[in-house]
Amino acid sequence: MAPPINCTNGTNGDNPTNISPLDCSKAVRLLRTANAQFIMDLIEGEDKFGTAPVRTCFFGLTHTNLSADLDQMVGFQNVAQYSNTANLLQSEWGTVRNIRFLLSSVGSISVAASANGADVYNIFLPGQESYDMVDLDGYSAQFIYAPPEIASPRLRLYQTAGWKMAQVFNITNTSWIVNLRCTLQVAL
Amino acid sequence: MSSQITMGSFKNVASTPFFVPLSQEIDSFEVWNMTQMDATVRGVSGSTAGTRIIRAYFNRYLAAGTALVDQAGTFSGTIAPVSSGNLAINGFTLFNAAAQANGPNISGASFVPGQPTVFTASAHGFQVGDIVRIVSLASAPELGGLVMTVTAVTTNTFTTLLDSTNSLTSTFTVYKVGNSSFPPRSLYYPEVRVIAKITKANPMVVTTLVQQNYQVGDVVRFQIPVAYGMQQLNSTQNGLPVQFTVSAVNNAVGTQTVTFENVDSTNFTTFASILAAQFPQSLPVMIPQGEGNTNNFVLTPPSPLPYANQDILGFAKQNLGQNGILIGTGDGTASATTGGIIGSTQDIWYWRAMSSLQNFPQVG
Repeated sequence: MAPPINCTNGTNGDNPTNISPLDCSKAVRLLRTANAQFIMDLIEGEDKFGTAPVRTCFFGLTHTNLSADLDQMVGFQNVAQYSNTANLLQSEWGTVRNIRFLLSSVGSISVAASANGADVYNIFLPGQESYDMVDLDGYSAQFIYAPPEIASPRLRLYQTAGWKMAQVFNITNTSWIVNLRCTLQVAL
Repeated sequence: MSSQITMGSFKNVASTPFFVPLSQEIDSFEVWNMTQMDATVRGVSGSTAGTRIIRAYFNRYLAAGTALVDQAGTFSGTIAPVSSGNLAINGFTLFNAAAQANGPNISGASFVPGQPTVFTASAHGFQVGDIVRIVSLASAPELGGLVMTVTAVTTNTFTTLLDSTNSLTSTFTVYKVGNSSFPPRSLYYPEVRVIAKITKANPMVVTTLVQQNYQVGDVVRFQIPVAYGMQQLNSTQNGLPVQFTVSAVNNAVGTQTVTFENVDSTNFTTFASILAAQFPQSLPVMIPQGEGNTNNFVLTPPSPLPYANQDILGFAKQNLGQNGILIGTGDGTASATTGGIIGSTQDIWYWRAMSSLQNFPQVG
């Protein structure tokens, strides 16, 4: 489990608070002081209207429900404002300070876990090599489909589909990964 | 993919629910109380006491916590008449580790500041070992969101190891996030644990709000916000984590301590609970670092060292997720108010779980 730190500089009166630029800076400071390495190189500025350079960054992995709060943050830069969009990820929402946010509808939420009983959103900030994956001899994940000819050869009444996997994820250095916890300011 | 039948037996602990871990989908589940059917099995003598549930059955159409049951009447010689019916409480409950829900919100009236902390909440229904979260503390927001193990209960109060010495009493809301009868809520071990208190002594002893299940030789580090004091445990500014090796653990509910024989905290800054004015705040946590990999027990008896620098996998990541079915407890009868499958005696049970290849849609 990634060590948690709470956002405390937001304004919604909860604990953790909503996310703020200063909380992002504090999380990055914690990682950098522990010598965690950034994931993404900087994107240099270019001569394009409405764009700006992007700092070297950690990824912030979180839930899509945070998109509105991120948009509200002072200094937040949507991907449309990157000076170069050549290497964007499909889930990338934007950046603030030294974090580029990747959003997913299956991002981590701790239900009703804040001081006021609101949902807490976990933003995982991994540095390079903070976690790894152990594959079992290339076994990994398999999706297995058996057509009717195989699943029910006599009358071919049904087919089956399923998956199995044999892999393990492991945090290699808890100093190089942080779980920045926050609540929402922009209600759902 | 095929139909699957699994069977086994267990000896229950009197008046205690029993969890059967099963990886398969459970379409139906049955238990037979062999002891109360007068069979002597596994050294437990059969009983003809009668008026006990001798068979219980569950399928997916039944509500959680219920069962269809057969109850023996008065024995005549070696046999007894059987009555059948529906057990409305303390029956079977399917458990899916990947889809665990919080318990219902319960309003609390107050707590007594101190350590441990005694909370007052009418008819809370918690059991010792349950894990609960408190939220919405109007006068003590600094305690909101904390998760803790219930260490003692009365009908209207429950106790935890929380240190609320510096807080004002408050109304609150509490709900259950972990059930003492089920496997651990978290899918993965080891877990980061919030600290309840730290001694200023040699050796240093850390008490956690929730049982930690660590073991001797495990290595941890600390992340303690300034407001809680004892900054000596935090990692320094040079990028190297300050690590500590566990020398003893006591995971009993109500104790929940981790001892560090090689740490003398006598002259450290006091670890203290925070004030309302220091809200919002991060939590003071103990962070598992990996399997026993450092030997800093030099000159610490006994020798040779039984711990540290050993080839142990105490902190190796483990997926604890497991599905299964919980068999409830009551007075062992089908009573609507005091009933339950498992009674106050220690019995031998036979169980059978079935997974069906195909389920017909409900008709009519």
